Amino acid sequence: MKKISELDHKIVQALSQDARKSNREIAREIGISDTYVRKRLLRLQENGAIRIGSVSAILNLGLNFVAEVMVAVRPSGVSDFIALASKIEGITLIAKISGKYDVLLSVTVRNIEEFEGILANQIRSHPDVLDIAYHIVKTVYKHRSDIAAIREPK
Amino acid sequence: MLKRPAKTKTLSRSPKRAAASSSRPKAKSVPQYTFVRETSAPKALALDELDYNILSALRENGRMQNTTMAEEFGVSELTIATRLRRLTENGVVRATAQWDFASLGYQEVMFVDIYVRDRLVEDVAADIGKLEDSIVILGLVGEPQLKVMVAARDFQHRHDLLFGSIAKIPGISRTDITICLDIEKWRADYVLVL
Repeated sequence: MKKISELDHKIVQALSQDARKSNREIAREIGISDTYVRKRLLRLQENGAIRIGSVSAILNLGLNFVAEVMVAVRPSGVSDFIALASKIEGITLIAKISGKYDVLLSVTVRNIEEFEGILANQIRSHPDVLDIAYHIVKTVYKHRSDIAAIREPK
Repeated sequence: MLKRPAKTKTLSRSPKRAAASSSRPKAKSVPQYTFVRETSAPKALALDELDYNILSALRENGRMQNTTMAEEFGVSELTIATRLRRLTENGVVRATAQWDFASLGYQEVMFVDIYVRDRLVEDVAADIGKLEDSIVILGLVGEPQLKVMVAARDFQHRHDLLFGSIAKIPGISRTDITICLDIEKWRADYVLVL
């Protein structure tokens, strides 16, 4: 897609602070026409360059337990394992990774019992899972909410 | 920009030794084994069906008009506005726009495990947080103390980020770098803190 212009950045910046601002307000802030704002936003959304939605703070929704799980999976079983993991509600991130482990999962659930349940009943019991390691998160220092993996994986 | 969570779980241990010592007359300096981490656990807001409906409507379209929602859910516009304000003010939701990694020119994502020595973990985290390309910074139980997600534009940028910016931060004794080969799932509507 075409390069993102400086103006695009300004428009999205204004929106990321509060998406409920009207096009007119944004246009006035930046000093351009609201038709232009509408046109650019539509274009950026169609290209998958931006998402205009909402973000919820997990920790304010009562989900208090966060862990990063690394899973070593038999190569032939990776896609099958990922398909299974995608269906698990508490998993917010699935990434294929380099190194000793093959898949990284971010798990956010209510409590440790729920986490143990997912680990024992869904992950560890998968026939292609060879090894699991996990880290329990105690503090979140930063989580940029203005960036996300939006485009469909190829 | 650093977001410090005002909400981490409280973990208090009161070992028997501390309990036992309290029954005796207090010695001058009884070692305190009580370990309380930051503030108390977040109080989750009680949400009802209407709240969840609003949340899911916003997830799909952060700019959906209050009138549209009011019609759809069969309540007044004022109710929607009130609910929305409550959800927003309590940090449950924010209507927002997000960039895709690629549209910001990011080609690669990495996870960096960081071992900290001779410095406060939160200070190291604060320094990493100043880097624009650090996306997520998590403090872990045990070692490594930090897990950081960083994004890089290209090979050179990746190198500069890891061996220039991050490696030069004081207090980092070791890093383990994992390259992200593909992102299969990413809940864009969730962040850990707002």
